[in-house]
Amino acid sequence: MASPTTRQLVVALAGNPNSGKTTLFNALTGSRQHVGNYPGVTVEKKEGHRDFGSYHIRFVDLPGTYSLTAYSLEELVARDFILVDKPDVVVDVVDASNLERNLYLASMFLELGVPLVLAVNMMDVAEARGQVIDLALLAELLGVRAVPVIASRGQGVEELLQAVVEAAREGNPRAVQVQYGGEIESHLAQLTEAVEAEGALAHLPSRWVAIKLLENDEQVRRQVQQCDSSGRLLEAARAARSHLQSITGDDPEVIMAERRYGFVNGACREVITLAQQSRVDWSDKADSFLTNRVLGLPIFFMFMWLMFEGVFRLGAPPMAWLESFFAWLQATARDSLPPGELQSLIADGVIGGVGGVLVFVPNIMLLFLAISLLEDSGYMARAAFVVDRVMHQVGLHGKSFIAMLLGFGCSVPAIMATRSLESRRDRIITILIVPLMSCGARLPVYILLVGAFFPADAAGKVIFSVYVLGVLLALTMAKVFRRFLLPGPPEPFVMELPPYRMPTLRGTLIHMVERGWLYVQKAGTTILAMSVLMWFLLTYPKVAPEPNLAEAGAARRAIEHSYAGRVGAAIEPVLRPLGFDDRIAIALFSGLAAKEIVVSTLGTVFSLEGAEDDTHQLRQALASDPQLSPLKAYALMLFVLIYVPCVATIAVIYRETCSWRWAMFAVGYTTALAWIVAFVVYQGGRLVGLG
Amino acid sequence: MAAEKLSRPNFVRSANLLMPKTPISAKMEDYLEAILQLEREQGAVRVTDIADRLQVTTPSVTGALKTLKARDLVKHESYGDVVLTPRGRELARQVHDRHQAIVDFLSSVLHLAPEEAESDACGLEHTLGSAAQDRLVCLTQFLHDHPGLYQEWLEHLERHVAGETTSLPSGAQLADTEPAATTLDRVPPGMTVRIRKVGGSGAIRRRLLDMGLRTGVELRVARIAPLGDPVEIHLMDYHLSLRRMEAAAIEVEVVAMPLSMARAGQRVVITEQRGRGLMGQLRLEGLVPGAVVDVVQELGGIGGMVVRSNGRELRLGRGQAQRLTVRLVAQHA
Repeated sequence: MASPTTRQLVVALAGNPNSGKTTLFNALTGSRQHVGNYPGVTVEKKEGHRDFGSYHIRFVDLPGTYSLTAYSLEELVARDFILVDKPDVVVDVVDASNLERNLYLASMFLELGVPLVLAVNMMDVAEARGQVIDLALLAELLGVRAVPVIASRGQGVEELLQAVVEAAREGNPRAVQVQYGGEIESHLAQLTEAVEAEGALAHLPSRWVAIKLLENDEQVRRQVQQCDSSGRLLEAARAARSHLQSITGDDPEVIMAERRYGFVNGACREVITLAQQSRVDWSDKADSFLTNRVLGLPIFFMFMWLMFEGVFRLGAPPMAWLESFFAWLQATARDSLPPGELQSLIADGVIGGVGGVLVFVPNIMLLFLAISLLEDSGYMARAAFVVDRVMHQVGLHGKSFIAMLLGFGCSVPAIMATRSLESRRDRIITILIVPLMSCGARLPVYILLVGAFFPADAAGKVIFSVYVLGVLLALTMAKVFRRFLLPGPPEPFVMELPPYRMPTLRGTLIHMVERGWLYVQKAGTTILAMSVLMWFLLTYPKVAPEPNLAEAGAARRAIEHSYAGRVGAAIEPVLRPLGFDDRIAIALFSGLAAKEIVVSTLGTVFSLEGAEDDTHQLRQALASDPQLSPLKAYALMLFVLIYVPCVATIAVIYRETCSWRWAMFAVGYTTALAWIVAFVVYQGGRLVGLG
Repeated sequence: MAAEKLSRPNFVRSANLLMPKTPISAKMEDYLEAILQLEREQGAVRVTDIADRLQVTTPSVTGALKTLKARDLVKHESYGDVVLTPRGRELARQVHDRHQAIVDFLSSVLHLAPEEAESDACGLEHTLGSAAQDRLVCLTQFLHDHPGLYQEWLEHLERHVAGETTSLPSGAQLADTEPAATTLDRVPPGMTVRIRKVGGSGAIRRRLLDMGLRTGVELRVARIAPLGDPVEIHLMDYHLSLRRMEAAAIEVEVVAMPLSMARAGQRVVITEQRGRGLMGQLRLEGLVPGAVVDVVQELGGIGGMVVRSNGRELRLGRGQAQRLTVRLVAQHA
């Protein structure tokens, strides 16, 4: 690609959330995208490239932010990228129909002194609202280039690229700074001078550092502290702050934010002409229905039901095809390979493992189709608005609700759905509690046990009680984690309700395919590795073949002899207070691979012929076993509900939190909680004479 | 040059820079303004409408239109609708803004009665220089933004005039009641409020500021979530939701509300009419922006209210009352 005349450019794409940044990114880079993370944090980093003239332009999609403070991870990441990676140009996507708030962010880029190009999006929407915007005047007032674009239709992209190249070559036409007024400016001038004198800070724009010091910006203070050993600079900043506080009666950062808005407001007043006053706010009209005090909740639940049904019902047939395809593949492998270690590894370990990964793909693609539709249309924010009250009680955000709900289907997509949460704390807590929502794979276990130990008319109630207990535990644990594990002031809920918009087919498809691929690539590899590990533990060491033993007996011997069986037997004393014997312990351990496997392992350890296919027989075997009772069965159901998420979930937790610590914490706390709950139920039940 | 412009106070508009090189006569300005108003009210504008509005004959309208057409300010074919050109619209809007600014100054700073302010403005607007207009807008805005300062100023003025003449001019009875200060979480949906102070601390306070919630900004509370929290507000050009506990840190004063939210015994001034179909009827009743209305009786539920305006009592449906935005003013003694 690099002919000698080709020049490389790095362009950062910034802007408010909902400004059409992602749409513009898609229009600029097409499918030439790569998704990763910013180093060391879970904030997603999207990159793409485009050739324009003799330039090879690499676009980096910065997180959508309203500001560039040190309070939010996204904002820190965005500004660090600009300060450290020093992109050649920053393109700030500005929503013309909401110019004032969008330009506030632009004013901060001006302070950073970067070559800036405003991509003024949605001029058509602004015009429909009766606003005529003088872009030439705007560009002149801010001293930057401004290009009108309609990202959804790809209009203005060529002109934008032209402006980017010019900005990279020539810089901004004029340096414009927000003027903070008399007292603040004189302090800024002194501080700027002091910063300039500090050689170690030369890589940062000095006026910006001075501004941030006056604003008491945590991160900049730390940076300054590192190279300003005498503390002179920080002391000067402190003195300036207290002087300003004493004369204005408020913190400098507040006054400065207001001044910045004043600057932006002045520019807006100059460039916007109201052609006509009356306008219909369609979003407001839609909201008076969709977030209505009476209808809001029913409508919300209808959408959630549609999403749940869509993800899990529409996903079922392709899942079944994938399952039968992999079953066929396994059978073929068994037939064509000589019996032995290799056959078992390939058929059970590898093919089984790959199948276990891919089987989730339809669900995940559908889930992200649904999420993409919800987010791009603008309803996601309303959903959070409608249910926030409940989630707020346990210290979470309204959007956590959606992830929890999906947890009833499968924890893997549910945990991936937490990506729509902005705060890391909210995300981690939601991820930790999602496994407590009873997923679809646990249902076969309940059905088996309920069928064996409870009368038919009570079955529904018993299973329902398990689901309800799961939800209650999830909410309780959320509150506990919020209080003790990740304490601190509540995250601001302050959330924009973006105007309703028609999602674009292209954007939705790109999002869906990207997520599906990301899952296969990232979570898939971990899930595969863990599946192979589970296969190993369940298969080795092998027992010597005993020809005179029945098939079922051999299977039981094999599993008892395996590492998994030994672990099961070893943990049996721990489980004894819950009423579980070594057979159940083995079944529970095998359930790590996937919870429905508990059923087939129970079949094996209860020495049944072909038990996997005949739960009726197994049910009878369980019911007639003297070691078991309805109380034990109920304790077992609760234990299955709560204990260790399956390997796929553990892998996804690891991938989504970027930390084994959190994945292991999830394993540990759920197991402990499962033990406690099962213990209380079993021993409590015995005390009141149920056992 | 533009840098210089930016260092001026933000609210001083450079409207004068955009004015056409050759000024047009006061009469023509009236025509443009009338066309703009008619266009907003009823869409299509005919010559007879203009004649009715300005109380002149149709031939004079036709003559004026010719002049405006020659300047490329309107488009008009014989027997067709009158349409403003972009330039004409811009000019008409400026004329209108200037008129409003002067009315605003006369009524809210000098406390003239609305009718008086309106008629004085008609005369003043054509003679006032553009610099003086800018300053006037600037002063009015400043006094709006600093209600406390303004109150003090009024008290000084009162003491000053007390020695020589009686007291403040009688129009002061129309002074805004000291707007009730409250916090945003307690404002019912439908009300428009102005922020006095954003309290709180740390991340939340900074977030609120970054989202544009700052002293002097007006916002409307749109609705409350089904479960009673959070609330949705409209400010600048967007919609924002925030929890009540966050809203509680924001001190506000009530600026305007729908007439339907006014209580019996309150006196209000109409500031805005919304909705088309109703406007004609309400205009007949004299309920136009600037009109002073006393709420006589609330009928409860969807019953609407009985109001008195210009000495006449009339009954308004709830829907009608919701479409009139009003500002509270002080009662008669």
